[in-house]
Amino acid sequence: MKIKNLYLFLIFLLLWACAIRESTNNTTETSEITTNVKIINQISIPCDTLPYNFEYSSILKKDNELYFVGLDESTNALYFYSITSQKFSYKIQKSKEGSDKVIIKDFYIHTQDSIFLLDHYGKKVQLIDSKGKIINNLKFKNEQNRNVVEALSSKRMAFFGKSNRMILPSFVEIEDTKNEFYEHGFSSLFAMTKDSLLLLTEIGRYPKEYIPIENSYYYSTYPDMIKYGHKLILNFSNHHTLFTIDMENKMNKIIEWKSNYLKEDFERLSLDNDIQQASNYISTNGFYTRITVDEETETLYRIVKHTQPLKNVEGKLNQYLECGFSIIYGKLDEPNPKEVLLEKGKYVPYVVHSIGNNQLLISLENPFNPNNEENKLQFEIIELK
Amino acid sequence: MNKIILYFVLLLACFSCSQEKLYNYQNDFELYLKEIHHLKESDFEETIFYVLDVESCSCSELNFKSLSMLLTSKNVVLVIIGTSKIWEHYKPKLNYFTILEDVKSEIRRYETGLGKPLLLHYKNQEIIYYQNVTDQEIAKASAYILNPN
Repeated sequence: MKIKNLYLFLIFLLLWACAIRESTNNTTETSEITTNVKIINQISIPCDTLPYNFEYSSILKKDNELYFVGLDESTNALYFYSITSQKFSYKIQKSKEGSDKVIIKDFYIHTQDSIFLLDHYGKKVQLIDSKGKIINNLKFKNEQNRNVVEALSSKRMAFFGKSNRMILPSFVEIEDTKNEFYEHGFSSLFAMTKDSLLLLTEIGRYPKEYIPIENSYYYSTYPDMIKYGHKLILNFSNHHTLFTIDMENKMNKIIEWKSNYLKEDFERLSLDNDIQQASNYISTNGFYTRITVDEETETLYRIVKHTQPLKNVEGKLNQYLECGFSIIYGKLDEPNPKEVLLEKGKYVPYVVHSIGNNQLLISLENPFNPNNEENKLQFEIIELK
Repeated sequence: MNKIILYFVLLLACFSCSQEKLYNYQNDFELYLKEIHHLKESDFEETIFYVLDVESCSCSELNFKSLSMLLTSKNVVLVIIGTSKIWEHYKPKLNYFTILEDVKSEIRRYETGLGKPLLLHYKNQEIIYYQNVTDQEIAKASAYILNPN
């Protein structure tokens, strides 16, 4: 009997040792885990009949006031909420009819008096001032044969004022399950004149790991892009390394920032998936979502979605915003950035903006946040040091 | 003997063909309708379900326009997921259909394969027709409702 117990103990020990080894192999730690999310301020803005759910958002600093700006596609308007005075301030409503019509699909705030609006299916870009008055309608001068401009929430627009260059999200009309798709860029570079946009070239290049292998791929392929100086920083969802790309289409590795909550290798999805399998893949797997940057302090924030089981204890599907999230942050040349774990089910970690002084404005409109009040648009300003 | 084996192989092939499911998520879809909308087995005798997510699918208006032009609503149940201004606008125009509303998008807790709208025709508790209604096939879905089978 005693020998039997000893055998059982040895088997248990062996299994435990294997589990430890596997865990060590899969999660090489590169960032330092911290827990110091310091809540600086709670923002609560009454919004009875106003929209509160935004796929496209940005921030604007104007006259010592900070605004959260959200695009509401159903009303075709940009809504400006003052974070400083915690109230709705104004909106810019655009007409869907007439000669100056624009159906806003994305926007880019260059300065407080230069806001670019991307029209439906990339038909044109409209430049407006802070009151919504049209400065210019920029029409596409040459044919976009292969890479067609179209808005996508992760691939935002960017404008480089000194060189009058604009980068717009674009798509090749090839299925992303085909290898050929990965031979093309994922954005387009335009030269801006007074009233037109001239296509110069498609830009961007996928890391070699993105090419489908063994009938599987990463599914969500487009990188999150953010302007930084005269370059763009690229954040691929399934790659630990961050990249930059410049106007000459030169792509460089900046640094590897691996989350402690992700394994070394990413799961792949079968090429012949259906929408449910794709949805389950996104819900259960961990990957990098967004980046936001503070240009003054050269601090980058990288948002990480963690893995979660497909179903909860009741046998129902877990939802995307129920899973854990963390933020990796540090100077752009920091080889050992910090990583902070966010409270589960509290934030909407893809509505997050750097507002300077090591502070982030982050949405609390998570449907699984029990403290989120109806009819209020709520944020927290958190500090990460 | 060979003939008998061939007969069995063909029988097996026919059986497996008849068992092939048109729609992969029938169990969870029915569970959803029973748990959230309190439907019974008898509700699957002769019903066409048209499931549309008005929050996530930019195709809502195209679908509603097409549905509002149909003159028949016999045995058609619209299952509306979420809320939107477009739905509020079309709701009075579509009130001749039986409507089930899922304001909190509880369907997301079930594996139903919902992305683009789903058209599912039940007869004697079996699905006899399934269509994933892409934008290009909205007219085809409406044509099926007008003339099912």
